Amino acid sequence: MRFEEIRVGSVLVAKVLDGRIAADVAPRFKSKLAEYMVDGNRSIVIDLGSVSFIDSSGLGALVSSLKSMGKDGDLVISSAQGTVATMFKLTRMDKVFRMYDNCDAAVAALS
Amino acid sequence: MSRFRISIESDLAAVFVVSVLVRGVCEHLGMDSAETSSIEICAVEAVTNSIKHAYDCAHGREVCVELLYTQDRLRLVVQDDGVSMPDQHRRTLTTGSNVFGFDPADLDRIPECGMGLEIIRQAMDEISYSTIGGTNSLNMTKFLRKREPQGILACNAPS
Repeated sequence: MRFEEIRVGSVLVAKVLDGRIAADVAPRFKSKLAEYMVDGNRSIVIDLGSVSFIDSSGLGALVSSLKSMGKDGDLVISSAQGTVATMFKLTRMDKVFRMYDNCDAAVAALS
Repeated sequence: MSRFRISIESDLAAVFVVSVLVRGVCEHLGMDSAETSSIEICAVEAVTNSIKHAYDCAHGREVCVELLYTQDRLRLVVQDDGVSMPDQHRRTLTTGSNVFGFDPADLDRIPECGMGLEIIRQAMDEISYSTIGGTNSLNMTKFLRKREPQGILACNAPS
């Protein structure tokens, strides 16, 4: 999977560059998020603005990462739209994750 | 009725083709983005389930996806010839599960898997599952909102 990582102060913004997060790449997605946390990142924005589709496996990877982060930090979502936003709503994950319309708002919330 | 049918190999990396087909057909039919998203999600979840559970991720098998469209409904059929869905999961399709009944604040209880069938149940209007002659068929129907037709469809089996 391809990511673009930008650090804004103590916040890591990880922009997913692939258009899909589905069962074929979900394990790699989960590993990458785990790597961010192992590296000491405790404020992470996952930017899904370039993602047009996520399935339940992709959501599961995000939930697993949120659990790993626990109360030691923040993992939030930005820029979910279209089918991705529909998926979060269908599964009520929009109530679980802190979701922001854009990256700037997410970074501001974590800064 | 118009019909579109494709088959893909039982490889998770091939599932994107199902997305392309379903989204393309739905958009061509003039469905709104919410309906299109729901149907695409259901198609991908169903095909992924076939590959993961019916075939245990073994490559070289076949999953068929058929879209049948009339003015008022779209029927999506996903077929495999692997292991049939267990009774417990079949019941989920009719009675539902509580997988999304979690307290959002109770992080430990947020599901990481087992969501696909309940997503399908919630997004579709009619669902049935059958196994006939070794072929498993998950039939999903979505009743469509009224809309203006968008041109003539090219289809491979009009009836």
